Amino acid sequence: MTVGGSPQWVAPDGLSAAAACRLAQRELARRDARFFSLEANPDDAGGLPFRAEFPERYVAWTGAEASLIGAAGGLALAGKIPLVNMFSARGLMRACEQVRLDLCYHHANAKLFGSIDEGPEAGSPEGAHRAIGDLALARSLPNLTVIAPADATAAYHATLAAGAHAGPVYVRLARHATPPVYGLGCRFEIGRGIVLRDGSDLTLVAASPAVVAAALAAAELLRRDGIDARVIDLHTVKPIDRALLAQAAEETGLIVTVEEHPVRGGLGGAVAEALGDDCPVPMRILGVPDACREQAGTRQEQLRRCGLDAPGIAGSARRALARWQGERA
Amino acid sequence: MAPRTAAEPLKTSGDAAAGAAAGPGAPGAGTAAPGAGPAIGSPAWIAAYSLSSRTACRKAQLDLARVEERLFSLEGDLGQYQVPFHREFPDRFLQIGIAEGDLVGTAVGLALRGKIPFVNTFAAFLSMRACDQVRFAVAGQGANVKLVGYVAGLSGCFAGSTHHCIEDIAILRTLPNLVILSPADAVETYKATWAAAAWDGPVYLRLGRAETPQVYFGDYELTIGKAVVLAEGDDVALLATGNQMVAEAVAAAKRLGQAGIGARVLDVHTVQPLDREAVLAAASTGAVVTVEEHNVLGGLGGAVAELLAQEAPVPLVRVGVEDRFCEAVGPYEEMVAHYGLDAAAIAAAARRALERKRTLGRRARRR
Repeated sequence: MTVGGSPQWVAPDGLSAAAACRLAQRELARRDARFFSLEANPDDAGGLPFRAEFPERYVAWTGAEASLIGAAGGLALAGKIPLVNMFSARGLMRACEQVRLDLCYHHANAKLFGSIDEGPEAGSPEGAHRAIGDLALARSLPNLTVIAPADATAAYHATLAAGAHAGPVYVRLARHATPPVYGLGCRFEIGRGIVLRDGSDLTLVAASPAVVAAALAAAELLRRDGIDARVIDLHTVKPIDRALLAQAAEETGLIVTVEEHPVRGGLGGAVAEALGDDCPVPMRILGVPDACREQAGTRQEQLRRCGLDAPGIAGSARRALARWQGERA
Repeated sequence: MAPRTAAEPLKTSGDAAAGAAAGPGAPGAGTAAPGAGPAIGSPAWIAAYSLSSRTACRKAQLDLARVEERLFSLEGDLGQYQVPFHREFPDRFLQIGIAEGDLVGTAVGLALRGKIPFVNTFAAFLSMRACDQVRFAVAGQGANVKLVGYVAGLSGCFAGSTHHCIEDIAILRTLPNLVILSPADAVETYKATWAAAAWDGPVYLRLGRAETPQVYFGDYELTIGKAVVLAEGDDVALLATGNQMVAEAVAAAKRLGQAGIGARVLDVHTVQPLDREAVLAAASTGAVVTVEEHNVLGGLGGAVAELLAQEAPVPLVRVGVEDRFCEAVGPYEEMVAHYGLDAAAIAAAARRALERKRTLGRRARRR
């Protein structure tokens, strides 16, 4: 299959990761007639360009995620490559069993694109449409590849990569626009993390929109204090890039993970498991504390309250460094 | 968040309550079956309550119902009619059928009206088919629902991957407010069922299917959130959870002991909230092994990895199912061995952890 795609494509300003993913889906469909788009939220205008160009390969079933994922399994087993667009909360959780048995169990060649937020500016508390435990759930399902691209540009390239990958893939997206990380394009390879900034004092490991950009900004704040932070975009949460993590652990001695997800079972959990296996060094897991999960506000406010904005991340990194400094040789 | 039900002691209904008058909420309570039954864990008790966690849990629900009028038992068609809850309490028994979403939804309604509903169904279908209901309706509002997931891990054996369940702990561990209990044997299951009933808030109780080896031969105090040290040792720590797995860990420790290796064994019956103190004390051995009938990703191993990495980084080897569907089915014990969960596999994992502890020690000395 020829769906490599040029790494030069860059998302225009203001485009969300979810919207960039739609463009990549249309691109996949143009290159290969096996791609279908399955839509759980037709009132979301994101699917319209695909429908306009490929009406015979577009299926929309409002809010019927279980049926949609069952259909995706059927298409995949018949040799098609279904691209399912959904809210993560509904697709992964309401239709959890279908994802497991209709897709993962068969190693079905289907791709799930899930948004973890509701809309351009909505910052509702966790609820029917917003769920943040998706990484832990997806990681526990055998055969499922789990990707959380850092921005719209990465989401575009991740979608192309998912299309070329054999087997079920879950891609975590955001529907609100997030700060760009890859202004010059992105060479996206599933399973290979990207070192965005080198550093020797500690490593910030982040995944998914908003927080990777925040980690980069936090590294800049730390630099002003004379702390040299490495930043890794660990976009593939499963399978995890063990070699890159082990190297960062060896060379910097302290890992701080950053994710918009509960502090249990997600990126931090995956990194902790890998480090425990390969290279036990101190780490700190930054994520959404349980107490913050029910608070509404703009996206920016929500991230700030959780300590997931640049000052919050830099502060946590400083404290972790101070705590472990004496013990590191 | 909606208000939880008040944390009042279990309401007893009349004279059947003699043996549990203190209420399971009191320290050390939940230990006595009502009336003058056999001593818990004794051969006579096992004869009455069986070695199977699923039967022990059903009987515990029946015993509880006799002293707690708010208790309801909801059924997802597991067909467990040999424990006659439905005959003794027809008004508090609801057969919802194979409709797990409705089963959980009904339980939430009962809980919000002040009842204590126990939901009985397959772990796989409870955590995955009813995933959204458990997340949103139970955990999201802290509803006082007790979810009992049967046939967890590989205990569904011949039923195949659809009925196996190696994902539930990872999925449920991200939820706020939810206590996750994974008892080691029928005795601990009985006690955990009482403890769950007395707990104010949602609980998930993870059980196997078949009879599994007895770990507890007498009464003891089960406290939610407090792991039990079953064997002492300072070379390596085995942190195990669940039916069969704790027994396998105990057997592995015996093998290691014969080779002069001191293995501490912990029964981590509460996976959430994790017993930080006990896990960190175990980390002082310098090498930790987790043991669970669950995916090696995101379960007990994940919880322990997260804690150790942040507080006491030491080598950790996670024994579990290696992130795959277990399509080679067979008798339960054969599956446990085939997928690397038996005492031999655990002992081998402990040796790997020890070897890495020594390597790190040598490197530290060179520095």
